[in-house]
Amino acid sequence: MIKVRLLRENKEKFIEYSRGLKIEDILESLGYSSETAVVKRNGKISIEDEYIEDNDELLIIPVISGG
Amino acid sequence: MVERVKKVIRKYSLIEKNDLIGVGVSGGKDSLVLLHILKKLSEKYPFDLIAITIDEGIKGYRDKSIRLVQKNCKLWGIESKIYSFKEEFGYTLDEIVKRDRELSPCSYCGVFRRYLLNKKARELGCDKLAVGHNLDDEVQTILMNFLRGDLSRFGRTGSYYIRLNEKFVPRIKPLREIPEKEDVIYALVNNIDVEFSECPYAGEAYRNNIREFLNKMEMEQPTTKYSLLRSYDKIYPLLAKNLTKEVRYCRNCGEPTIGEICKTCELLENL
Repeated sequence: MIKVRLLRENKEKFIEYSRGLKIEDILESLGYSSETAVVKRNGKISIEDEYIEDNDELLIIPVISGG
Repeated sequence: MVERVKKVIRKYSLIEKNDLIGVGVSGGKDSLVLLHILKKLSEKYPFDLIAITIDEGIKGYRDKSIRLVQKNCKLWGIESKIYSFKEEFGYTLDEIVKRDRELSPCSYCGVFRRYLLNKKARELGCDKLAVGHNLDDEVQTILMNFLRGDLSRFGRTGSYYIRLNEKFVPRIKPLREIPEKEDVIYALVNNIDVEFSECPYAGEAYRNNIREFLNKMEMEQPTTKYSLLRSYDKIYPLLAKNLTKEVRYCRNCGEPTIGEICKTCELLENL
């Protein structure tokens, strides 16, 4: 299971792990893209084509105008 | 990133020796990143900073971000001045929204905020007013104005300022070439406590459409945004010459304006 925390929506989601899943896939499934979000994987800033591992914890930070 | 910002400042001579730079800081990621970078640069180069914050009076949002401004200014040793809509105009934005249900909050907010930023920066003796507009902000604005046929606005998103009037404090945008996403990354990497959320009144559907379009284009063709900015910068010298209008003084408050009374006074009369 992958735990995903969405900063903007202030929610937590759980996603089924499967092999070959990349960060960009998770972003897409949540309605984000590499242009609209920065992702921290287990506390570290990561890039979109990184592979996810089981039990990863992701934090999705929105790239939003405002400031 | 500090190097890139330094290059932009050098290229367009945005900051000169012994300048007092007023930095418009809202507490959002862009303005705090701007403040952080300028603070670093001011330790090596001869110029001073003062943070100017406008409290529009948006409960649950602006009060939150202002606490971040104060916290960071204290941490970084920067003087912080805060002015509010309530004090200066008699209403918070929340109150304005209740009084006028027709005009969008942004219509009041943008005008009032810019008016105050300029006036206060001038009163504080600032040589320049630095704001945190990033690459995404700029190309969205450029495209929006172009698509809407607003050519006079179109002629005002340049890399360097053209001083139209002594009562205007020249505005500089040192983050102009930095993609918005990099502001987020810079804030995270440098552990800067910033406000990541957006204004509860933000609803400018048109700009959102433009943003989505540009993001899509950027994903398909990387460097689209940057190229757009570059193209604009090439034609800017021609635009600036031909499209700007003559500036007069508001008969009500004396601030610079194109018409008889300035937009701020006009909107206040509305209320």
